[in-house]
This record gives sequence, structure tokens and C-alpha cells, in this order.
Amino acid sequence: MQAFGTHAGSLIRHRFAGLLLALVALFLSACSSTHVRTDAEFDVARDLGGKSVVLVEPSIQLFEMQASGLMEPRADWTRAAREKLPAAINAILDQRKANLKPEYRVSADLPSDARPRQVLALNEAVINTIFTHSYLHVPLPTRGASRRKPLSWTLGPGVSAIREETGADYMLTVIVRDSYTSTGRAALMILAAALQIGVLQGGQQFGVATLVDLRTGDVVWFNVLSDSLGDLRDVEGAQATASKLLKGLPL
Amino acid sequence: MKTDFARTLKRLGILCALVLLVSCSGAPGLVRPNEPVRVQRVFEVQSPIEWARYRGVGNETWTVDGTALNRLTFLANIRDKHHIFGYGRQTRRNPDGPFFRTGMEPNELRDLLVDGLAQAGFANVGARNLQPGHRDGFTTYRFDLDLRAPNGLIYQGHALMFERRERLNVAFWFAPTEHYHARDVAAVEQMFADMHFRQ
Repeated sequence: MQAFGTHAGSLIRHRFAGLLLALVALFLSACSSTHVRTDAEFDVARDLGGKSVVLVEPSIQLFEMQASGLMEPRADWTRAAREKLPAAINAILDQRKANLKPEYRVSADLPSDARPRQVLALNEAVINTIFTHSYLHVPLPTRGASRRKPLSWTLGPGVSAIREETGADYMLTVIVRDSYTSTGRAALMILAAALQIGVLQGGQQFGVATLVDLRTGDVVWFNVLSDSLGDLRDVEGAQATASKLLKGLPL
Repeated sequence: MKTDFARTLKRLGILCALVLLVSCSGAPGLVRPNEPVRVQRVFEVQSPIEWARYRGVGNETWTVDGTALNRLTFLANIRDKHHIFGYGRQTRRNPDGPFFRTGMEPNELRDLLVDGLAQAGFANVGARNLQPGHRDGFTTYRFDLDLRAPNGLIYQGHALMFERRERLNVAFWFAPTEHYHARDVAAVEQMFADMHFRQ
């Protein structure tokens, strides 16, 4: 009996430790983080006071994570977020007395090889490159071995096409992909934690924001946001996300 | 049954060897300007600009700013009936695709790279100005490339191909038309013009 009691106690302790570990892992996965990088001149020479900024074609998509882990795009949530997040970003920039230009979207009539379209496509390629080598730390020996290296990427002088269209000095681009845990997924996560099978990933908010100098084409500020608790479906959530996305932006 | 098992074991062995070779490729290196470099024991290259160098098995990728912004790829010793980018071999079950065949015509070689890039996800891949030439005892084929990334970004570049010991060797470079191609094209053209091949 005593042997059974000891065994049961050990089993309970073991289960408790497992559950505690699962809770810690859940807590850690629910954390929010940002990763800000600036170019070498940013802190010493770049004066953004009185300069104008334009928000260019924010790319926002919202998904629902199904029980299987499959991401189902949600058009209704995405539509709402495409109104709420730019409004929240504008409100923050307005509060900081930034000289805001109206949001810029490339005209649908422009062909795909038109300069503004090519500059924005190049901007995506540059964002992917900075993400790979500055955030994921994939080594790029031509940029040195330091992990916290300043930004040194450019879109080139072709950005003048955007400056001529908008009249702004800086271009702010925002990319957000946000997913939300469905009820089925949440049930599966709790079940997996209770049975100590493992901690299943829930919905995750992921965003990138960059600031490009429209006179030189240089990327002067870059931020990556990763958050398990962000919610773009309501105004407060959009404001919180905008605030984290614009962390370190000197405007 | 026994033959099938042996074949499966052989395939697994090859796969393990490939994984081992790839994992042994090590950290990326740096190509310094104006220093001669031997690439995959086939190409001898001297560059006027600095590159980051990523070595693979039978291939190397060089880049200045990141592979989405400029990419110079060397493919060495592609064997008969093998995929140009190393994605397997031509078989009865898998007859279609950009597989190299010894003795291909110049336009077939050009289309091999075009089809390979299209299969890799690029759109509107085109090749122009196919020019045959002779260098170090080999017949070479040079041509210009045009392609688009899935997001619409237009790339331009150059390619050079030649057969050596019945195996195909390829060097190709491309960069976005916007800014990066114009910045590096002169340096890359000089590299292609000065490139030599091991006998």
C-alpha cells in the first residue's frame, strides 16, 4: 500500500512538474518582442525633425488557425484590420507631431513594370534580406561578423518616383500577418498540455515596419514585431500593435 | 523483393552521403576583390568586387547584399540525365523537366536554364543574345536573362554554359533591374569575360 502511495505521489509530482513546464512554455510562447535596427548614421547624423512621412501600401492579412494548424484566411477580419491599423499608426504619428502625407497606394492602372511598382517590389526583397541577415542572423560576410550590425541596405535612387508621387521625405512600410486560435485549436492545446503530449502553437502576430529615406533610398530604421497576444480585430488591439510596430521610430 | 530492398538501401545511403556533404560545407566565406578564386575545381574566377560565398555540393552561390538582391550561381559537373539544379534524375516515371543530356544543342542548353528557373518559381523567364565562343579549349555559350520574381520584381542577368568531360557547367548571375543590376553589371561582365576553366 505504502509502495503504491509512494508511486502515486511520485506520479502526481511528475505530472505536476510536467504541467508546470507546460504552463511555463505557454507563458513564454505568449511573450511579445520587438527587434529594432537602424543605419549607422541614424543616431549621430540623421535629423528627422520637420521631415514628412508617408505610409505606403500597408500589407495586412489575418488568419484563423484551425484545429489541425491550417491557416484559414479571414477576409472580414482582414478588411477591418486594414482600416484599424493604418488609422492607429496615423494617430500615433499625429500625436508625435509628424508631418504626415496621405496614405499612398499605387494606381491600379499602372503596369507592373512601372517605376513605383518596381520600387515597392524591391522594398519587399530588401525587407526579406534584412530579416534574413539581421533578424535570423544568417551570416553575410560582406556585411561583417557582428550580430548587432547597423543597417546598410538601400533601394537606390529609384525611390525618387515615390517622392515625386507623394512629396514625402520618408516612406513607412508595414507588413503584418496575424493569426488567431480557433475554439477547436484551443481545445486541442489544452488537451495536449493536460496529457503532456506537448505545447501546441496557437495564433501569432508577426509584423515588420521599415522607414526608407526617399532622397537616398537607404533603409534607416527596421523593426520586427512578434506577439502572441496582439489582436487587430479591435481598436485597442490595433493601437497596441501600432505602438509596438513603431517602437524606436524617431518621429 | 530483395532487389527492391537493396535499391532502397542504396538510395538511403546516397541521401545520407548528400546530407553529410551539405552539412560539411561550412560557414560562408568572403571573396576579396582581385584575388583569383577556384570554384568547384572547374571555374577560375577573379572579381573586381567583394562577394559572400556559400559553398554547396557541386554548386556555389555568391552574393553581395543578399541572394534576393544579387545572386551569382555556379553549377559544376552536371551529369547526363540529371536535373540542372540537382533535383533528381530523369527516369521513366519522371521523364519531363530540365534534365541535361550530353551533346545538347546550344538553344537546348539555353532552354535548360530557362526551364529550370521557371520551375524554381520565376515567371516570364526569357533568354536573349545567345553567343557561342571558345575558351580554354571548350565551346562556351553566353546569353542574357530576364525574369520576374513572384512579387513582380524584374531581374536581369547573364549566363555562361559549357560542356566539360561530357558534363555541364553553368555560371549565371541576376539582380533586380531597379538599382542593383546597373550597379554591378560592369563588374560581373568583366568576371565572365576573364573567367577560365580547368582542363
